[in-house]
Amino acid sequence: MLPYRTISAYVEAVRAGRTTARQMVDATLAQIDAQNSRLNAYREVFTEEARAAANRIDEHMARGADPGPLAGAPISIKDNIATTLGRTSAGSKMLADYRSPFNATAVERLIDAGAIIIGKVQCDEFGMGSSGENCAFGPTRNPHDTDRVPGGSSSGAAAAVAAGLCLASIGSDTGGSVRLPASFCGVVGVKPTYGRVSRYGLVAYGSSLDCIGPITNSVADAAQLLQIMSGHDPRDSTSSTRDVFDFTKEIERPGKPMRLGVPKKARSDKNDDAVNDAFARAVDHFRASGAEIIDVDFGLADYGLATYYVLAPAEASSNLARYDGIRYGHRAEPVAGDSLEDLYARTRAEGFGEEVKRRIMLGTFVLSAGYHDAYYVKALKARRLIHDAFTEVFSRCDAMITPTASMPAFRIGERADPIRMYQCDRYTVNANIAGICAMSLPAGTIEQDGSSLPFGVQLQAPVFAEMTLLRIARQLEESQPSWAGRES
Amino acid sequence: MHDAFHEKTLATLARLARLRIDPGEAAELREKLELVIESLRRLDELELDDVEPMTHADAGRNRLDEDVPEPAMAVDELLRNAPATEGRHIAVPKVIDAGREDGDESSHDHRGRP
Repeated sequence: MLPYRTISAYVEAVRAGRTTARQMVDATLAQIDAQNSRLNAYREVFTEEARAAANRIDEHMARGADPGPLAGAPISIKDNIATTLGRTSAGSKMLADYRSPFNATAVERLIDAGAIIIGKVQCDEFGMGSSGENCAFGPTRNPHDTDRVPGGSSSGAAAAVAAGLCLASIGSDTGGSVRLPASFCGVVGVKPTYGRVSRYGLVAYGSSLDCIGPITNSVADAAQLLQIMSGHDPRDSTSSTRDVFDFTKEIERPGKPMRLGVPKKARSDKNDDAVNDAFARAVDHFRASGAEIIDVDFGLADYGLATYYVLAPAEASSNLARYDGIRYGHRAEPVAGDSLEDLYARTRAEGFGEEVKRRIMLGTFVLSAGYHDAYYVKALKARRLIHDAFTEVFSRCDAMITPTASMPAFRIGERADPIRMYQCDRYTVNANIAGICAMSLPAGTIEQDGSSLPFGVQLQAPVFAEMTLLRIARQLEESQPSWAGRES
Repeated sequence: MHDAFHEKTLATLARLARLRIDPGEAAELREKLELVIESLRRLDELELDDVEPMTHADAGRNRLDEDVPEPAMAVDELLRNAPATEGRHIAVPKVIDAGREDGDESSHDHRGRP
């Protein structure tokens, strides 16, 4: 265990002189050393660079200077987000040795705020996966039960935060990739509104769906990191110019009681019974924490998966065309008589894993002449309907709540069939399709086969209503501290 | 609609996607793709005739930035990731037909860049 579980507890301690950045970094490195061989959460650890950065922050503070709001907090970064330290491989053999010449804007902002980048954490290849198993560098294991998956695609990020191998991590979410692993690992995960956080430096998967978001051990930490990373970036033309709220301050202010919508499908025969039970308990706790609960109709939710698995592969097939073995990344050994096209095709066959190839083929299919209208355009129209359905729901409530997933963390290898794997995303894809903000919050545990597995509840709110999400989450966290693992 | 995937051969899609599919993996890939495509037909249940396609989650208007020159990344830095280099250039396999090296430029065969 780390001496501090949250950024806010550490920052308070370091500012009061009860610890130093160097002590925190050393404690984190010791935890990684002790646990990473069991969990495979980290792809790379920046031991020397992190110690040097901690020393600089401590010297800075000793001179009376402000170390920034993060004051040397050790934070890990998903392997598909560019850092000049180490490699940025996106979980793929294609980029196994790729070294980014620049930092992602989100990373740059964290460093400017005093974060120490402690390492890169594993993920499903190019963010394509729901379990952490589709990683060229081996599957990550769930710290609550190492026979089980941590969820994906921000698998290493959630596992590292849950196991105390960093104070927080930065993941990415295209269809649930922050929220699902947060749910499986019992931590907080936020998918901000599309455009809230710059995507500059995020390895592109589905560009109209991709978002960078924080994974943390508390709602206050998520609010803090979101605040630091948010805001317009000239390098990402889709990043919003809207003002960023002072989330950290605002979540502590007592707000009006919230009205929460529960769709009928939130309890479903497609869910594990234990999930339906845990969700019912979570709804009771929301009610007890002062929220008003109403029933809402969101029948279109069932069409989200089909919509997502047309749109995301379509965008991926286009985005991943850049990996041709010429300018960077893996290149197949040239064979005599090969055309340039043969070289592309062999490079891509060698560099991409099975799931990535499948999604590229699927995306190529739905965009190909003769099928474009039947699949791609149809999915774009369904996207409009889902977007409009959210607008209708949010005219009646502040936020909608569902389970984050239909099941708790499952066993490694249990869902090899892609359809079964894609079903993990049934509650999460809709937020990306519509571009709204959403988060997963720890809400109790599920006992299964002798393991106590985390259950996560998903909150979804209108575009740029992160403040609403965080306030509701903070209220629940405060009324149920044990759910967030914050007893004592 | 129903036999959509059968009509397009795996080979055609693989060529479009610039992916070499090993004969050993073709059957399984095709089977799994068919399963996924079958599940996408769920969308046929929706009434979509009068619905405007939504191409992007970004509701904001497009914005033009000022055209201000900025320093570019150093060439050496960018070349560090290239699989093969010669001097300050990225080395690639020969793309021009050997037999036509003395021909006029427009007849050179730049084969299939994606």
